[in-house]
Amino acid sequence: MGKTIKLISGDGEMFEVEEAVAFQSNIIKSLADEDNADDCIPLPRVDSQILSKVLEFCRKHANSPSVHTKFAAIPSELCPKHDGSAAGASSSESSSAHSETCRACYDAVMKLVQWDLEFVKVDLDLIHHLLKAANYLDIEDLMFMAVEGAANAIRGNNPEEIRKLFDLENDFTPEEEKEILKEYSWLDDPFEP
Amino acid sequence: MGSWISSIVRAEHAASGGGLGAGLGDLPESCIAEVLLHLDPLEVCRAARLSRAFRGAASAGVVWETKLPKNYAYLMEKAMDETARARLCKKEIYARLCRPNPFDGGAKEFWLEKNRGGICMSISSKALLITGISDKRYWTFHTTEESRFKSVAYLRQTWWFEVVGEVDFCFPAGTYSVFFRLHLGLPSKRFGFRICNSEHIHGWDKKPVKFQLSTSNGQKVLSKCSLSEPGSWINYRVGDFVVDKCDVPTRLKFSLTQIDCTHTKGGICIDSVFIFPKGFMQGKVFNTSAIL
Repeated sequence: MGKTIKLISGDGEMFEVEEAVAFQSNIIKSLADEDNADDCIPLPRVDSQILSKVLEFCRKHANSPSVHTKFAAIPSELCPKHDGSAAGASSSESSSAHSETCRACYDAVMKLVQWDLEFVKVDLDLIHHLLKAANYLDIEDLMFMAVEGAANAIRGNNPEEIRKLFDLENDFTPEEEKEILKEYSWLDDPFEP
Repeated sequence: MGSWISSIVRAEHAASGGGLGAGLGDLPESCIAEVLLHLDPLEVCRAARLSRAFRGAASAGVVWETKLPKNYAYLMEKAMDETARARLCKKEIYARLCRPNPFDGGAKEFWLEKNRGGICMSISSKALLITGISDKRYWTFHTTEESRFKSVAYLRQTWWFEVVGEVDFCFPAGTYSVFFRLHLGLPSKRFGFRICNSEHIHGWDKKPVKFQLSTSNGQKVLSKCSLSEPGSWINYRVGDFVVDKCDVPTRLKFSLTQIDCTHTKGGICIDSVFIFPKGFMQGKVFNTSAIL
């Protein structure tokens, strides 16, 4: 194992993970960069069940190109085909030489996307916790997938169902509800021959 | 009574470590806005009714910016004057563009298709060049609720049937279909019932009519169709054209002709020409056959 980071969840459980895994979170990365004597980062707003799911995601993504990276920008050392051969080579040269049409990279990213899609097909209850955790911990790829998962959950469900699924409070006053109806009255069709 | 209590409970919950049970209501508006970016305009509007946080996020400019056509500034100029434009937020711009917006003297309108944000257009018979239109023996205008413009051109009889139109507009990039909205027979209302006067319908079964469509950048469609089904409004699909750039105006010319002088034809209403984003259709659609 390389250098590890210790994370403490909101309910007091300790997770020890490789730097590469933990640093998927920009927040953890910047907290670790600060002078942290005991190498333990507390995450009070994420409990252990969610944190372990988040770390599962980060583990998968730690040594893969981000699903957002354009293929040409994938450094050679992350390409499955060039695995190992880039060691020792000058990094900038091998990065720029890496082919935009590298089939191995394309396949690797597609596989990762498939894995991500399966990962977010979870209990609805979990999706919004993942979304909050991704936002709080600033994990780009997880945010991307959780947002898509949340949007799917909202799509095609009526307001009561969505509120139940996401544990939302209808915090409108009756006056506010009237205002909203008026605000969105333009949705009604004036004329459709 | 519970809403302010539960928000206090949630705040305590969050401070003490979050945990299960606290829902999406705790998400900052910016995060909800990220989710809304993935939803269609109508879904965003529905989501606004969920909670205050959702309502706030649903009004965010960043959400509506992605739903508006790229050339919405041009469309706003066409639709409203400067003072009206200045005070609208992105969501209001979207709503406003979804209304029918008259232009070119009012005989043409454009509007945003609510759910996908594509541009739709209708060109009234009054904006079309109809050969012989001023001769009341052949052509008259009739008032009807069945037209967006409340008026259709009705032909009793002619040898030379020719309807031509054009429009000059910056369409957002994409593919569009052009339709002529036609009706064999003259519809009217008597004692609350819809009736169709078919006494002048003749000649359409002899030869098909020809449709033409061309753009300023050289796209051309030539097609034909035999007009049929008296008593119904039919949208005859002429063909498609493609727009690459939204900042370049497309001059579109279209026509409908039947000028075979061996027979007369008549008993037809011309309502308008429609332009819709490809795939979006309204009413009864008949396809025409391309003449190669």
